Amino acid sequence: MTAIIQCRALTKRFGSKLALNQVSFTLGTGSGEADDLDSPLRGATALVGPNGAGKTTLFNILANYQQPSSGDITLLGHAPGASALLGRVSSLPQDALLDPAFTIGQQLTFYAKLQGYTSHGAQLETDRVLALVNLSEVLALRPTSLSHGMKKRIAIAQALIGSPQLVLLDEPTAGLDPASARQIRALIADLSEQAHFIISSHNLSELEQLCDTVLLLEQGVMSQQQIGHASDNLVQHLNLQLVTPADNEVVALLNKLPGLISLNNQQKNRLVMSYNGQEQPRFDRLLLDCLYQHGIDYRQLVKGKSLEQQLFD
Amino acid sequence: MSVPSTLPSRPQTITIIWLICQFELVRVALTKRGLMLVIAFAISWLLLLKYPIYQAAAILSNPNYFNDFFLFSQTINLEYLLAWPYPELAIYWLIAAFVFPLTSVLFASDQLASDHNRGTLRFIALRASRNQLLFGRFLAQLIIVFSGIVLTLGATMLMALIRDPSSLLAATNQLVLIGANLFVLCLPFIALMSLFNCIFVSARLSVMATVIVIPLLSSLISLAALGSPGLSSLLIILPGQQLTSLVQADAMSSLNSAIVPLAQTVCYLVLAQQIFARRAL
Repeated sequence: MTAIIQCRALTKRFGSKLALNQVSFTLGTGSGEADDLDSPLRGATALVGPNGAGKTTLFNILANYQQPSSGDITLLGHAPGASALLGRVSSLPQDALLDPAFTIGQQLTFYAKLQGYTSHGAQLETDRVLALVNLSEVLALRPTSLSHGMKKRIAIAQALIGSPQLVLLDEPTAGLDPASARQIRALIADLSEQAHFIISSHNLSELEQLCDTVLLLEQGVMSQQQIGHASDNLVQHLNLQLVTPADNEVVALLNKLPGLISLNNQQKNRLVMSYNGQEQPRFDRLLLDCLYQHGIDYRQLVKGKSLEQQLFD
Repeated sequence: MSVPSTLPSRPQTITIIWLICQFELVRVALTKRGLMLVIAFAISWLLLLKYPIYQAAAILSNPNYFNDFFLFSQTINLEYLLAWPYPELAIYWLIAAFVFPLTSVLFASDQLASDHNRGTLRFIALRASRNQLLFGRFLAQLIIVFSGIVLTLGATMLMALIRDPSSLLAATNQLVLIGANLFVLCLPFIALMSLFNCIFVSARLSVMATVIVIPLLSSLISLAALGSPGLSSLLIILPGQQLTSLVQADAMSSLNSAIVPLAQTVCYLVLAQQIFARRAL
């Protein structure tokens, strides 16, 4: 089977510092069919981890900006930097800036031409990707006249030129205002029907919205899991957010619900309830009935663990 | 959501190299640094054309004046210049052989360094291989330096023809040989800047390294050669080492020894390619 990404014992050292330590993982197409890569890839994978965990280093190796110290890596069946990947893999590199000597339009058109577009086609493609990030008006401006957020959106636009199969986005919404961040999330959600995105971010709720798989990198070591998948069918979870903080009376009331295994209310009005799914499959209904009967107002009820709870609880 | 209109096929290597080269040529006209270099180049050559080259006929017709004008003519043989049909070309050759290598270093000093520091190379490297990037930018510098040689040589010839249009045919062959010699002379300097751009983090450092490393290595090798003369052959690794012998020979015999700068160019580029292929962007 050809995987989107296959990493075997990937190690990267910077002097005495070990940034990646024997990282191995396979990011498959999902169905396991050998010819999957001929049809459009889809979906999104989150890459999370604490600061200094090696996320950007891994991105840099995937995009062929850096060479690993040892180990093997393939993207879409090819080594990073292979000519077969040019134009098929795109990236939003961290802290990379466009050339201040040229306008945004000149540079994006140049990139499109390098991907094989004619002069006219490259201009149309530039217009298209700028429209995607809602920045059509900056075509004739130079990068120095743009804000940080606008530069970030332009860098995302360059990653969308053509039809990349794999898009690596390092902190795509960091530094963006809420409206722009929302627009970028919507764009990624939309485009992830036609390409596979790998997104590195510290915003777990954002990753939860966009991604189906999460790669957790900690101290240079990788682990992989599915977002929202219950690890144990027997034990199920509900996240309840109340309008007002839960007092002892409310906690005592909820503790009496049949099938409840544990109740955690570390955060004032947020409660995480674990229950026996086999014994009480309609636990959520019992909970809602209980809340209604006792006049307890709630803001949100979510089934399953959040990504944050999955990763850190 | 809009989708790309027509998905293009992957362009050929030569097309990508040419696109990168074209983009760099536009940069000369767009950047402050590029424009400053062009203006400085133009002013320098206007002065050179107006004074030594314009007065070439007078300089070369009087051997004393010639010796006074070119003090180093006492130590190196420049007598052959007196036999050239156009003295303007002779003086041009003498000046250009020293000026163009320096010009090449200045023009070619920022092939990759600024874009590397800024991270711009990361955007380009998603669409072009590192080899295409390196050779595209090298080609752009070749074209810039070649254009400089053609323009200044053309202006010199024009001045000579205005003074005396009778020997045009005799000078044509020499014109081509001078141009080819200068171009070959500049090749290793441009390639050396490609190499230094793959090693050093800035254009300024690359220029400083050239200005310091070449004379320093040259002196060290010459010093070591005093003890064991065989070591002087090591000078062959440095660009421009044939400069003194180049200006002492006529253009045809100089071109025959073009193998040294051509080999230096190939070696520097191979080294640059090897380093750039492994360098973090």
